[in-house]
Amino acid sequence: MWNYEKRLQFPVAIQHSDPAFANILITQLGGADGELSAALRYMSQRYTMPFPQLKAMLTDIATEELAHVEIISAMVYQLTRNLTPTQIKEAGFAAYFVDHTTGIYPQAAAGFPHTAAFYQSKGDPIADLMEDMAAEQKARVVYDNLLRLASDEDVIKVLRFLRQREIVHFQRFGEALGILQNHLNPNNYYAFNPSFDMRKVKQTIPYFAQMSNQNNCLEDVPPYQ
Amino acid sequence: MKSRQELMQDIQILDFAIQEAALFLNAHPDNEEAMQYYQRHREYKDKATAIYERCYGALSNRSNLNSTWEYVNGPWPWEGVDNTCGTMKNDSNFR
Repeated sequence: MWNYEKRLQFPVAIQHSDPAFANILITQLGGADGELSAALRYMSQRYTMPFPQLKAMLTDIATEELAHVEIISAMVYQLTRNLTPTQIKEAGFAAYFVDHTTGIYPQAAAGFPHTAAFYQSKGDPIADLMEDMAAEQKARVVYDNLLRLASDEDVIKVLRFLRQREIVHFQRFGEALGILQNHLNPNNYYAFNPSFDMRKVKQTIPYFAQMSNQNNCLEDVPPYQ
Repeated sequence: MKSRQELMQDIQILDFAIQEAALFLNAHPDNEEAMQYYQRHREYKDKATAIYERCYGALSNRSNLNSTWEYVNGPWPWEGVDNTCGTMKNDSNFR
């Protein structure tokens, strides 16, 4: 279950419109390595993750990626405000403009629309986590490239924040992979798929036993009864 | 004391009432009756959630109130029943 909080994870306040930059930035919204791909990839993969730490990690990173979808969308929105027809033509924004006016549409920089064909949900946690780590690196490269082309400080500071998040997520996915491998046979991680061949895996984590802090609960009765 | 399942059902019912009121209020922000309905259910839900989280662990990674990281604990909501952690079974031949 999700709730919306009416705030951005990192503030976006871009003074000057720049449709040419919006044209390339939009790839982090709808492109193969973009934030929407990341969110839906992790959101799809989390169901078959075999350990609670991995379910939590994919859930929470997917959720943060949705916040990044919002940040990129806000940037594209602010970069395409108050445009004149001349600006639109000179900035190479006309192709997007005829299709979407200044609506926010998830597509790659080259115009290719967002598609689930960009990512996998393989039902095998080693394969999925390896894809996730690669995805974070690819997104980091996109931010590197965007930063090479950006000149507006209002844009640059947001891109720097988002780039850092790719690196942190890569680190956390690496740790998730480590947790997974610690529960597999170190001589053959591929002996079985812990998301499918369930009977071969041991439930070894007493720390993660079903919790019941009954002593915290006393005689609580909900007041609306 | 209510069971985990009973408290969860309360939260689901109360939160659904809040969602319905919120959608209505988006289109009718000046409707006083809807506003009172919203506030009453929000209050109830906050109380039910506080009890649930104290007894059975965090519902969100922003609301882990107890001193250990209970948020990570199973069952996760898509697992359908209150089984023990994850989808794992016993009888492992590995460490």
